[in-house]
Amino acid sequence: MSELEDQARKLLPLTEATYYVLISLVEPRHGYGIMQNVAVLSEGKVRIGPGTLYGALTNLLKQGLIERAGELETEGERRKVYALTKLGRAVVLLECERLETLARIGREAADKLREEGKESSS
Amino acid sequence: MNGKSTKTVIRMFWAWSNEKEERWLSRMAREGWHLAAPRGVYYRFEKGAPADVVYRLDYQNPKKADRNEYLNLFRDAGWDHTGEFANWQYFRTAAGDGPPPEIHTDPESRMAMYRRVLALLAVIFIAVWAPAVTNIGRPEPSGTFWIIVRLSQGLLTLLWTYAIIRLGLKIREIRRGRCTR
Repeated sequence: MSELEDQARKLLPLTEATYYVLISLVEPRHGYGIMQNVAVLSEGKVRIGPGTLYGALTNLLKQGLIERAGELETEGERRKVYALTKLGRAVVLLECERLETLARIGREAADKLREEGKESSS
Repeated sequence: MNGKSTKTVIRMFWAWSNEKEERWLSRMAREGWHLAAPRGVYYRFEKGAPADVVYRLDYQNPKKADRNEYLNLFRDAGWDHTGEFANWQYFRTAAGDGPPPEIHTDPESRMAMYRRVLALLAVIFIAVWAPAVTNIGRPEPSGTFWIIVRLSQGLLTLLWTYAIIRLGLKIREIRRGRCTR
């Protein structure tokens, strides 16, 4: 296992907010772009408030999962753009693998419970 | 009289009862008094049209380079910055029909906020006691001045202990999911 992967594994599991922020940064975005993207990805079910987002960005910068990638000027406003670092990419990949495994195992259990439910109700 | 009419109200809130403070500010806004400048226990209000608004407090001290970025995030999300005092940032937005809008949308970031308050209290606590601790073993100075110093240290210790316990309890309540807005 590579050193990067080792380092990434120590940062798992992510909180839901951190997870949404990181997967939003698959493309570089500014803070507002992240908030909008999270709403789109979750079909409006998850909202990240600005207080939570600022805290998440500060932590992720400190941990080296994201970095500043210049500024974007839209409607006369300059906004800082964030992007994933190598470590950030490794964390996203590992977390998605972890969640896929959990979901797959859970699905088998859920199917079994559903089967049992059908038998007992019929 | 020209200009806006203003008034200053004195009220005290504990650091862990910012929710109470937010509700009070909303009640003031419904009566047409809108927060213009929070200055510790002094709150300056400006008279305007009564409005249904939500106030939220954040405890954050963004670095100079980050300050615009911090305020931009809130503005983009529809919050007005109405002032700050001692790292407490006051934000306001219109109340909609649904559940009130939030600046902190998960328990982790709410806990982190109270931990930042707690960290500052701890630093002050140490600053108050460090001089006394370094004097252990030396003869206790006497005189009115030192009596006052010792008394204020004692009072501050009581107050700080209480505040640290209350903040700790608040963080625990959030962690256990008992304290949701």
